[in-house]
Amino acid sequence: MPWTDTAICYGHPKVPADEARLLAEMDRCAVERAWVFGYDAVATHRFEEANARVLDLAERHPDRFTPLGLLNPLDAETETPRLLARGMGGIKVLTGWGNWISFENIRRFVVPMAEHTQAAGKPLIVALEGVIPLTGGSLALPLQVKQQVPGVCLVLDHLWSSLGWEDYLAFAREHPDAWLTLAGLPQMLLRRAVAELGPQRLLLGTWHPETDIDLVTAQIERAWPEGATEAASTLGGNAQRVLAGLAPERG
Amino acid sequence: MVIDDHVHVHEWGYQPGDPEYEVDFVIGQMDDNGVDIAIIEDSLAYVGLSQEESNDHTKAAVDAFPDRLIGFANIKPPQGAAACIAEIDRCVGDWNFRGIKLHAMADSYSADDPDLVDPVVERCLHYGIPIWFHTGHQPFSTPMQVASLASRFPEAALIIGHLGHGMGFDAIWAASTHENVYLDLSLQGAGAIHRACEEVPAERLIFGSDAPYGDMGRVKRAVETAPLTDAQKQAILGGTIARLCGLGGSA
Repeated sequence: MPWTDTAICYGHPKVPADEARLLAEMDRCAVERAWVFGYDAVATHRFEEANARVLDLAERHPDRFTPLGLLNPLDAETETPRLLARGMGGIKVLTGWGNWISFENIRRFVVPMAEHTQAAGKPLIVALEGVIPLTGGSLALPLQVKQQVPGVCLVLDHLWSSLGWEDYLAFAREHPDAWLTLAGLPQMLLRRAVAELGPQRLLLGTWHPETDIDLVTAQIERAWPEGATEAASTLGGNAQRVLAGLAPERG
Repeated sequence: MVIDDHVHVHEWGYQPGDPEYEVDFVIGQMDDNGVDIAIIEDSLAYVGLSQEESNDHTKAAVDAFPDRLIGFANIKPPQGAAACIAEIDRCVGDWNFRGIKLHAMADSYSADDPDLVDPVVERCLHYGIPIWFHTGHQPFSTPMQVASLASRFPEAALIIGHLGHGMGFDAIWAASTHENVYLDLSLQGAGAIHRACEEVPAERLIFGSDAPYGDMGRVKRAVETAPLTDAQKQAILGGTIARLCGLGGSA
């Protein structure tokens, strides 16, 4: 069963977008579908250009790609509904971009994003950049969003810092309807995440090219609980639920 | 009545005979800054001493100035539930210490670890005393983990130390959403303290300095200049911690 990777950088500050190379890598790693976002915008701030690139890619390969929208949070009120109307599968918040996070800005910009995505039946994906405290990594942003828009389909993403996982697990216990993505981690930690959260709450999200896709899928397969259904199938089904704005099935 | 909720005897590099961190030095700091009572713990628990040895030091300090100092016990859950319960009984039951401190970072366990921490919380509930957490450091001692514990024990009084250190946003979120979570303001500047005053009810903010590592006068001034009523400032400067510790008529 092929995989669905919910976090692929199509355009990265250090690796330019390359359609042929990405398709070849997906084929090599048995990835049937990838959710793509123009992460280079974190460096260029050219969100419009990055969004147009992933929309174009998904339009030409609708069977392989799902586009995700990025935006300057200060434009959230107008840009969020516009991006969703243009066909974005969800909105991803880059918490490491800029220096904009404050309680007031979360209320002013991210909460409306959550309200718009919830109304559209789409996910809000929060990329925790792993830098404490203000410029990403802090759970204050997703916690405040869940407090004010409790029904939002929320994905915690870019959980690459193993130091943060005690907190991510605590967050997950507080909010059993939240989704979490798995990328490369120390195997003991990844095994614990799968065991504690259960297969029904997880997504594959490698942030390729930051991590090799097949290394992560091998890690997940080794951590998969005995007797559970195949990892790729379960995570692919989870991804479909997220795109529909749904909470995890009870495992 | 001004109460500093977090003061130490002995510094990490302490050697017998060092004058600057002996108890009379602490009393001098209190006199210079208008602090009537200090809650005190020995620091050497964080550099290798057992909880029992460390608490013996605290007891000696309290015995030297019983009208000015109140003991909190350093408790080390990795020493085992039975040892911790016995030590709480010795310090609180026999000596009238009025709370405990957990330093999960120094002792390398997650602050909401059910196996290690739950028996300690249950013993503190038996005595009706607060638990003070060093926080601000992933992976083991974060505001999120204290919040998770607070949800599990809604009747326990849990104090997030140092306003979460660099994780201030998470700390403020935890206190603003959990009625049994309190914020100690030690080691923080006026900007962070005033932000906490905007977001968290004043009756759940607690003045503390972490002297001799922190400055009593600076934190006290930040509280005194906060946009709060006199009654709210009195609660922060002593009223709340007096109530949590059962210091009838002290504030």
